[in-house]
This record gives sequence, structure tokens and C-alpha cells, in this order.
Amino acid sequence: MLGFLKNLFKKKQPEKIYTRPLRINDRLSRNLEKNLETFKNIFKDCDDVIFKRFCFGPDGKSKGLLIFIDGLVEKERIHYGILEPLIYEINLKTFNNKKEFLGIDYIVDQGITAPEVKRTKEMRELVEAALSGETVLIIEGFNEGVIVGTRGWKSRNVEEPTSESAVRGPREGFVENLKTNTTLIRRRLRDNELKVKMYKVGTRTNTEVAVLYVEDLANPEVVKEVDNRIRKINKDAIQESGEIEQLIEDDWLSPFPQVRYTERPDVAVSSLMEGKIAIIVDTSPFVILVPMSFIGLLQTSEDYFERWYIASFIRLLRFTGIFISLMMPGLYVALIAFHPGMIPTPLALSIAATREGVPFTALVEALIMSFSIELLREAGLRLPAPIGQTVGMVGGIIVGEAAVRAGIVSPIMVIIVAFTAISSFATPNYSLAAGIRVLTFVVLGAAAFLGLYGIALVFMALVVHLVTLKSFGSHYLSPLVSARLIELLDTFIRAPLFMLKYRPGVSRPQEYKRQRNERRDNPPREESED
Amino acid sequence: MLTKNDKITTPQTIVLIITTLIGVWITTLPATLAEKSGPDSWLMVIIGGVISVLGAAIVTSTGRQFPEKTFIEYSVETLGVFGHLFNLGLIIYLVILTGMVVRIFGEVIKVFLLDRTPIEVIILTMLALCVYLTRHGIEPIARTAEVLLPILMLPVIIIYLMIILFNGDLSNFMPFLRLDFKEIIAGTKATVVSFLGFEVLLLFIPLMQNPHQSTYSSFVAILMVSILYLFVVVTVIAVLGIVETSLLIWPGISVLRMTETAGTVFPRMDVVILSLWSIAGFTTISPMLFASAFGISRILKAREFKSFIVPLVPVAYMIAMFPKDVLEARKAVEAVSNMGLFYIFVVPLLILTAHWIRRRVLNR
Repeated sequence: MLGFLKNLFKKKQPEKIYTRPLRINDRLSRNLEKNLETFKNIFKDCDDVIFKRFCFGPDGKSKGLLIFIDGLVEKERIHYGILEPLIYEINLKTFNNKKEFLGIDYIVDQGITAPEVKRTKEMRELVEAALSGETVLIIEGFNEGVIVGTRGWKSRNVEEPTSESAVRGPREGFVENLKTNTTLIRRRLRDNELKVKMYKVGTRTNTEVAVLYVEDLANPEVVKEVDNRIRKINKDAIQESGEIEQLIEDDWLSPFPQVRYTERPDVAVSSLMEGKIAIIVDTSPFVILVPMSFIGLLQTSEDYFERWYIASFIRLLRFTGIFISLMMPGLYVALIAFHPGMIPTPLALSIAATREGVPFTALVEALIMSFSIELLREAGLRLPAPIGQTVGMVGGIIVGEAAVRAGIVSPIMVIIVAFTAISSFATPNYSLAAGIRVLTFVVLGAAAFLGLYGIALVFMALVVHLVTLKSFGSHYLSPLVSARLIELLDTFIRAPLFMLKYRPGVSRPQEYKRQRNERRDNPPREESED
Repeated sequence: MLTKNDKITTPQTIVLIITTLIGVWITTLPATLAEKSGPDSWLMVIIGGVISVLGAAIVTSTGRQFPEKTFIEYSVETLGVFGHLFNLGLIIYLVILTGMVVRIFGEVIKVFLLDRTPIEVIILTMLALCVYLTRHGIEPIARTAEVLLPILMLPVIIIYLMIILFNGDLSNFMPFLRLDFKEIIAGTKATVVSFLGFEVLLLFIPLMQNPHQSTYSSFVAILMVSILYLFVVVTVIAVLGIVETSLLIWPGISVLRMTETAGTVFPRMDVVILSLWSIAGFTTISPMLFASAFGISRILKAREFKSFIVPLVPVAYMIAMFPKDVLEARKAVEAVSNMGLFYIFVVPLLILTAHWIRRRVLNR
């Protein structure tokens, strides 16, 4: 019976493949004036569209029309790439060679000097091209338009990434321009197997989305799945890769992010080299990497640039941090409320002394403090940087101190909550840290009801959830549940680079082995003089 | 493109059997053994392990004759009407065992961790968690076991090792090898009972990717569990002595409470071990619940097992609440475990014989 109900809900609907609404059905005419009329109609009240008419050819008999959007194009390119060669040089050549004007092939092949040229008869394509910063050229007598690449607009320079800073590693970060971002990756990965597939997503915004992968490494199934999921997106506006992330993720109920985002090209490249797939969205400096594992979210590029002792130590630190940020308030409440006997006697006495006069139970106290620290964090985040710091100071130090003095909270609670917050900041991935922060409250609630047993229950439920979670068909808890024990070398610790001979299995790459060399030879021993 | 959720690999099977076996018994085994076999308890663990391996061999070699089928199908195929009876019995046994294990689990948590919480809450939360897991199928159960086993085992081994190193006295085992035959039988039975749980293999063999490795998997698993049991029994008796061990209900945990582990930050490690031990309970109850639901779905020839899990919960809960107190629950468990022994040693042999006779008749 339940199965029947489930079938009812799971009833498969015919797959809707995303198609853009065909609002523009007009075809190009051979008459230039008519075309101009149509385009003016399409771009009605769009005052940033420029229509430029010009004459060229022998005696200026041929007429042309340029359509482009002011500000999205580099006007110099139009000048040197289209107008100058057409108006001056064709005129000269045809005059000198006594040849007839040969038509649109001649113009595209010999006339225009701009490198990116595309011909089409589709009106829709022309309009789209103009809207994305290309220049459309239409010539009297032909029902075919020419799209010339003249994109160029003001955009941010490549700067150091702000959300993912590294002590050691490249200082370049992705920007809002898709082409710059693909360049940043291509510059680091000079391999013809690196494929860049372009999509247009968002029925109105027509946002460009690029899917990058190394063809002989990435699993074709995953590539296909990414392709499917991106095609199925049917939203009108896509502004940020975060929206794409939510629309293509596997489990929208999970508190854990199932993709990784990064601002760093070096991270993107090393993920590509593991057989993962990068999704770049125009107008967003954050690149999405799939499929991703829980462990992958806790790694940074610096782990591989630093020597292995240090990298391993930092990784262990991070795992401890995530454990503390998840468990600490809950553990404290459980110990105080249910198992005070487990705390060493001197400590128990001093805790009892500090809690004397505090009117709330441990749970309420923990809730008040955790809630206010979340509030502080949010307040500091939204304000301009200098004021934000002041809020942190006022909230954290002054109010905290005053609350302790007033006897509303115990000092040990302040320590616990502050420590939890610090541990949460040590998580390299912001979405993961945010998810864990939400779960902290769940653990807190469970601890208040069932003590350590409640915490164990929540922990096991989380394990079950993580174990069943998939990211694009790969196990989210990958190296911990697969039988490939060798990957543990690059999980909790980061073994010396020469030992990491295999790619992580989470991306199910086509080729697991990634380096063949054995341990490098030891340096020649110095001959002892005797 | 998603990986299948219905077959488990050989390592996963090993881990699954280990976690199914390590459950509530580990806390009571030292008491039972100390009472029945005195200083020779350690020997009983070894003998019990060997006999369990024998039982596992019987179960798995029967199952391997029918690698595509569960006990439910091949019992009917070979024994006819009696097969249906045995099937019904197996399901009843599994459900009762699930209920009893939950009950004993709840008792331990109540006694040591949450003395003012009603046991109903503990039992129901644990069952709810098990439902959450088992609905996902066998492969996630095995994967969960894979993740949880090291989290469970490492602290347990480290803490018990510290206890035996600092407080152990091996002279507690001193009157050496002085058991008579009757005592050996009684002690061995107690140990074999604590190995109960691998009869889920009657149902799980067709769920393995490689059913022919089922005997090997169960051997490895039982070997591991025997070593752990031996370790725990030796630790408890070495620290507490024979008399005291036999007087306690849960000596495996009490030993943690009675000793102050030297040099540790926290004076009472029993709380930590107990929270970890709820992992052991969880990984024992889930496969049993799954086996019950899976068995029922096979009897009814249903397409999937998920619909049968939730209805099993109230049944298991009522069975769990049936005994009045711990002692009664333990008596009930002993009664039920006889049925388990029957399904491990007798029924598979019957089936093998019937199968052999049928084949001979058919061949001629």
C-alpha cells in the first residue's frame, strides 16, 4: 500500500528539456530597410542599441548595417575590424583589380579583419549575439547576417581571492567575466583534452555557463549527468553559480553542500586533474566543482603546496575543528545536565561555582549564547568592514563581559561558545561551515533531551545520511566507504607527494594512476674524509 | 548512473557480520562465563568461537547451494510444507530477537546513562533511527557499518587495553583447566549464544555480489569477534576477579566504572564507551530489523521490503516491553537463542539432506 503511494508520488513525468521561448520568429529579408525596421521593432525603446548604416564597395553602392549595444562592445574593434577594411580596402581592391563585388563570402573571407566571425540566417541568433556584446552586420541584398566578435566591457581585474586566501599559492582569483575565467584555467592546463562546453541558461538572462573537464580523465557518465541537469534548468534568471548549484544538486534536503565552489584557479585545475568537472557561470567569480566528497570540502590547495608534516597537521586540526564546532555546546550541556560525574572533580567544582547564580538551565544558556553569536556574525557580515569590526568588538567583548558580570551567563559558557565559533571559522568551505552551524543546534537539542545518548543518536543519523548521500552518483563519504584504503593517505593526513600515486575515487576517473615515478633518488652521500 | 543499492561486496559482508555480532552480548558475556566456567572462561570463548565457525560453515554452505535464493525460498523448495513452517518460525525468531536486543540495549542505556529517562523513549528513538537506516536497503547498512566500525572499535580497544595494563591481575585465571564436561557444554553454549546474529546470513547470501565467498566472510568475521570477546572477557575477569564478575549484571561496563584509568583526563570512561556502545546496538539492531522485513517481503513475494519495516516497529516494541525486568528479559533471550541454535545447526542440515536426496532422486 505504501509502495502504491510512493509510486503515486514518483510517477515519472515526460522529461522536459529546456527550450528557450521563441519570441522572435521573423526571418531576415533581402531588403536592408525592411531588416532595419524589424530590428528597430525588436529593440524598441532600447536606447542603448546603436544602428549604424554605412555604404561601401565600388562607388559606395553597397549598403550595410551594424547593430551593437553601446558599452558591451569595444568600439575600436568595430572600427579597425569591420568598418575600416570594408569601407576603405574593399573599395581600393575592387577598384584596382577591376573585379566585381562578389558577395557575402567575399566580405567574410577577405573583408572583415576581426578574428571571430560567424554567419547565420536566424534572426533569433542575431538578436542574442547583439545582446551578448557581439556586433551584427547585415548587408543589402542578402538574407544572411554576420556576427562579429567585438565583446569588451568594463570588468574587475584579476585580483587576490578574498574568500579563500592562502599563505602560499597563486594570488590570482576568478572574476565575473567567464572568458577571463576559462583563460585562467587554460593557462594552467595546457592540454587539448581540456574541453570547454558552453551552455546558455536562464530563459531571460541568457547567462553563459561553461562546463570544463578533461576528457580522458573525467567519467563520461558524470559529464553526461552534468549536461542533463544543466539542460533541465528552466529558470528565468541565473545570476550566480550558487543558483546553478542549488538547481543541479542531488539532495536539496541535506544540510551538506554537495558541490564545492572555489574562487581559486589552482583549486579548479587540481580538481580537473582529479577527473572532476568545473562549471563556470558568467557574472560569478565562484566556480562549481563536481562531484565532491565531504572530505574534499575540507581540503585546500595549500595542503599540497606545503610540506607534508605541516599539511597533515593542519588537516587533523581542521577535522578536530569541525568535530568541535558540531559537538562542543551539545557535549557541554549533556555533561552538565546528565553526566556531571564524568567531569573531573576539581573542574566540576569550578564549573558549579561559576554557574552559581545563573538563572537559566545549561540548555537555555547555551541557546542564548549560540544564538547571539550567530546574530553577531550576521550583523558583522552585512555591515561595511570598519563598522563590522566594531560590532564584533562591542558584541563579543563588551556585551559578553557585561553578561557574565550581570550573572546572566556563566563564563565557561562564553568560552565554550567562542571556541565553537572559532572552530567553525577554521572550516575552509563556507557552505559546509554554515551547514554544520545549523546542525550544532540539532546536537544541542538532542543533548538536552537524551544526554550523550542523544548526541550518539544524532551522530549516527548523520552518518547514515552522509553514507546514503550521493554527489552526481559518487559516494559523498567517498574514501571512508570505498574499499580503496590507499586513499586514506590523502584524507585525514596528507602523505608525501610521491606517495599519492592515485586520483581520489570520488570522481570515478577513467585513469586512477597519476604518477609513475618511484621515490626520488637520495642525494649522493658526501664522501667522508678520513 | 547511480550505483546499485542491493548488493554488498565481500569486505562489506565481513564488516556487516562483525557489527551484527558485536552487540549487547559483549557486556553480559563475562558474567555468564564467570558464573558457568570460572577461571577457564577464556577457553570457553575459544571453543565457542570454533563452534560458531562450524555453525557459520553449515549456514553458508547450505546457502551456497542456492546462491540466488534466500532461506525463505530454498526451504520451501527442499522441505515443502515444512519449509513454510520453518520460514514463519525464522521470521518470528528474528522479530523476537530484534525486540529483545532493543530491550537489553535500552536497559543498559537506562542503567548507566539516563537513569531518569523512561526506557520507552530510549527504545523508540533507537528503533526510529534503525528504520531510517534500513529503509535505504542492504548496501547503505553495510556502508554505515563500514564507517562506524572503526569509530566503535578503536576507543574500546584502547580503553580496555589501558584498564588491563594498569589494573589487570592474571592470577585470577589461576586454577587452570579444571572443568568437567558438563561445565564445558554450559560455558560453550553461553558463548555460542553470544555469537548469535550471523543467522542473518540465511537471508543475506543472495544479496552478496559474490555469494561463494560467504563462508570465508563469516570465518573472518567470527575470528575477529572471537578475538574481541576474548580480549574483553580476559580484561574483565583479570580486573574484577571471578566472583565479582559473576555477581554483576553488566560487568563489561561496570569494569570501566570501577577502575580509574591511570593518566586519563576524564575519570569515568564508562560514559564514553556507552555512547559508543549505542553504535554497537544500532549496527546490531538494524541488520536484524532489515532481515525481518526482507524475510517477510520474500515470504509474501512482494516487490520491495520497505513497506514492511514500519509495521514491524510496533511489534518489536511490544515484544521489547513484554519482559518485566532485566532478568526476565535475559531469560527470554536465552529461550529465544535456543531457537537460533536450532536454525543454525539443525535446519540447514535438514535442508542439505533433503536437497541431496532430491538431487539423487532426480538424477535417477
